[in-house]
Amino acid sequence: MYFPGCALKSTAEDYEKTAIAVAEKLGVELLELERWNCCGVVFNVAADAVMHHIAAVRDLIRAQEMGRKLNDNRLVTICSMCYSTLKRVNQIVKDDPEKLRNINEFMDEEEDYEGNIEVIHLLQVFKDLVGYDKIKEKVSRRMEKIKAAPFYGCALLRPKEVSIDDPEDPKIMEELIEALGAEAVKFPYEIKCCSSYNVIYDRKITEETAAEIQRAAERWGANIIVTTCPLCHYNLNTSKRKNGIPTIYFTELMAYAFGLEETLSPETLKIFNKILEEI
Amino acid sequence: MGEHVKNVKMVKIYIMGKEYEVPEGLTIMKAMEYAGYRFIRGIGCRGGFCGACSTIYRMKNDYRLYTGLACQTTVQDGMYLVQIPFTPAEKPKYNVDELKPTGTTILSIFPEIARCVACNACTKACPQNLQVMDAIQAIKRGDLAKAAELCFDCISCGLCTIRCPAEIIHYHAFQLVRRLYGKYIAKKAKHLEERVKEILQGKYDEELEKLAKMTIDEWKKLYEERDIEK
Ligand code: SF4
Ligand code: SF4
Ligand code: FES
Repeated sequence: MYFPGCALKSTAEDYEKTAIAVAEKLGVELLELERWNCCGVVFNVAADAVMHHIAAVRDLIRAQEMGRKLNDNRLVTICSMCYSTLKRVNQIVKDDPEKLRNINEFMDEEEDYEGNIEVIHLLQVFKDLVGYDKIKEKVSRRMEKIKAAPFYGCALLRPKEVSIDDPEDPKIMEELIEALGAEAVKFPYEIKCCSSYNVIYDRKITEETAAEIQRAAERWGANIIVTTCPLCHYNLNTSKRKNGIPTIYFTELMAYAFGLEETLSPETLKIFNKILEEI
Repeated sequence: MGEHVKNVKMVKIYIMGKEYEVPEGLTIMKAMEYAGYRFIRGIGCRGGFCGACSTIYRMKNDYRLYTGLACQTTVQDGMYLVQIPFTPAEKPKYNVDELKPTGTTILSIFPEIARCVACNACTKACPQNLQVMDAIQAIKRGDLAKAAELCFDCISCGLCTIRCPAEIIHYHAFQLVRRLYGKYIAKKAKHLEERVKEILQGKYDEELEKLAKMTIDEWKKLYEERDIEK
């Protein structure tokens, strides 16, 4: 089962398309939840307000209902923010039965959430369930000219209780990039915040942060940045620098490596072609 | 009370806190009229279509706040009720010809939609039994076709809107969804286009003029003798 989230259905359609395509190539079927609502998004989780956990728990109930039919309790998320929100709320209600009871009672029109859903990120599916050896086998293109800097941002790593990897020194994307035959460029800003929702209040902040991150990645020798988050993707691509290196989704890099060009947007293809021409 | 209600069982209801005994089986609307209220606002079709007669009520020994249409809901013993003839909300102005049929368009006019916490209070309030929350969520993710389908039967009663903790104005937003859907997304109905053309060409002018000159009695006769589709 997978939870797409709003961004993948609107501004980040390429992300969803390539995610489904590369998963399929690796023998993983991502089944969209039959019914779902917006997860409620990260900043709600910060407040200890039950009202703001309802959205996520409702999605976990939808996963519970569908999971029963499929006999599978794993809910895969693709967007970093949805991962973080669902994972954290899941954790909170599992650790606090009193809170879970309140929420279940409030949502008396739904079945109770039993706390059995496991929220995972697509990167974990590729690493733990598929394995990088199998990923290597599917690569059909020479990738060594692509020097990709993994950018994790916040949501996948912080707080550490829900981190998909070592929160200070993550390797999961780096290893994936290498498995694809590209060069992984680890750079010091890989776990920096892209400045997130500041884009709504003050564009200057995000434009400057993005420029800083791009500059660092370039200095370490990257020609592309790879991300898991639609908001990082947006912010990094609206840097105040005109000719900064582009940011793409990790699934787009995979789709390119697997020869699934038909799933890539013309703009992303252009990015890859440009890198190959330049060198 | 009148002779005719002698053998009818009476129930006790509270209209805005005041106790009345009214015959069992009446709708809230008729019960209020029976109790002496005269409707000026908060009434329209009396048939469950116009959405003017929104009512909220509680029952004895029940914490829940219920919602309903006064013209469709029958009174029950121990009902505390009040009508909500209008849900205050500004009607935003836009020109549908200049809009793009996207979720972002709707969010820019109704930014509160982004605040939906998925509490489902709207769905529970809807007297039309619509999946109101799912419709709002469909807008949020830009699926206007789904949203339009889910809110197709909305009668703009405003009960969801008054219950929403995110202060979303569902009924105005839904109207915009259906307008955008109808104009840009739905398949064009060919027969409709042809009929509009016929009308513009004056095909029905003569008949209309004839109707306009008829007397009330002729109208009534015509109405009674009309063909009824089976
Ligand atoms: S969607 Fe809201 S306004 Fe429309 S009928 Fe239902 S409760 Fe009334
Ligand atoms: S009542 Fe408002 S906040 Fe709650 S689900 Fe409906 S639209 Fe969302
Ligand atoms: S009077 Fe029109 S819906 Fe009740």
